[in-house]
Amino acid sequence: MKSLMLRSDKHLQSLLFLAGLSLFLSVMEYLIPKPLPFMRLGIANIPIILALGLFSWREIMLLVLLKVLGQAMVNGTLASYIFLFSLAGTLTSSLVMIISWYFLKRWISAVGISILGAMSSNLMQLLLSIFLVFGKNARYIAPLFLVTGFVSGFIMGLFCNQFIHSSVWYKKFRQSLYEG
Amino acid sequence: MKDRIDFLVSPQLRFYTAAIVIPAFLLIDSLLVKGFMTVFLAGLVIVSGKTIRFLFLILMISTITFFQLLTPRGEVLLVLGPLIIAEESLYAGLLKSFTLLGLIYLSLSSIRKGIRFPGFWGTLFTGMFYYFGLLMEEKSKLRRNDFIKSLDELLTGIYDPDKPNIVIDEDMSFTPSNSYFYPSLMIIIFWGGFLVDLLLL
Repeated sequence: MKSLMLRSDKHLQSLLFLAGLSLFLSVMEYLIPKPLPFMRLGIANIPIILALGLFSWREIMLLVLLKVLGQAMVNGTLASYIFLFSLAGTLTSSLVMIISWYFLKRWISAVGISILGAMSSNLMQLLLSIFLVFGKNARYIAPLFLVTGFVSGFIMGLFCNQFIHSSVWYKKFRQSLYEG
Repeated sequence: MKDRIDFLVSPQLRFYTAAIVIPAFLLIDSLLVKGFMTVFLAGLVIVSGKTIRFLFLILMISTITFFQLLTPRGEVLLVLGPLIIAEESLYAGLLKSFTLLGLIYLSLSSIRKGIRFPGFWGTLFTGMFYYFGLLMEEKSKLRRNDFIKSLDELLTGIYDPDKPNIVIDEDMSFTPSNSYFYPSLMIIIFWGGFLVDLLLL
């Protein structure tokens, strides 16, 4: 698996760092001011967006799996439905973001990719909530859920865009990985 | 707060014990038994040195139960305006809430620092938590009013891809456990509870 999925030790190290960064950002999310107090921005997904174009889709999915499992361990939700929601939502959003990156990167920025990712994640989690937890009555929260998904995706995308363009660290990180 | 039971069991065995008792917990249908198990698990969380967030607990129980009550089933117990509180809906809502809370508490009490997994995946998790630990040590450097710049400075200080911090080593051995008292007790409680539910309730 190691030889198939990771091109070099530098790639593995950098992937593990992004996974650790994901966990860190999920814990630090409370620092970001939000329009609604219960809203989750999902800044833990920023490393996934940063990884687009630098790692293969298999490596990014490995990052996603590490992120979801790590978050579940840190938050104590590994053995619960919440983990399933997180796994399904994150896998769906990551696949959508990867596909968007490959086919639409000329026309959309991190903002668009983030919105697509957030909306697809919320849609998947909504479907799961209907089948597993709340029943068909969950459809009443669907409009609010999808709107907050759009808003959080937009805000996170703006944040990502700003970080990608202004971060000295990311420029060096990207350059180093391009060099192999 | 200090973990009061880490001397009883190794992190790995604690994790595997949780995996063994989860099916029993999920299979329990009795609200009484499940409620007892959930309270027990909440106690285990506290004894493990972690805290219970009561607001989260109340929010979870009320939200899940509320959505079940929107489809009234069974004998009507109470009518609160447009909300009909029916027996079967209330039972289903509370059972689901306790199931979810119990699983969360089981995870919280079972995932401990120092847990290691074998092989390549064990290496990945160790590496990820290593960097997570480094970042958490420096988290005070983050500034709310200048988040992006402070994050950039933090990352620059911690990770240089041309000078990686750790050696990737696939040989991750287990820490042997001194005692099997903890897993034995957990198995008896949970699988015993399942048998009580199956045979008597």
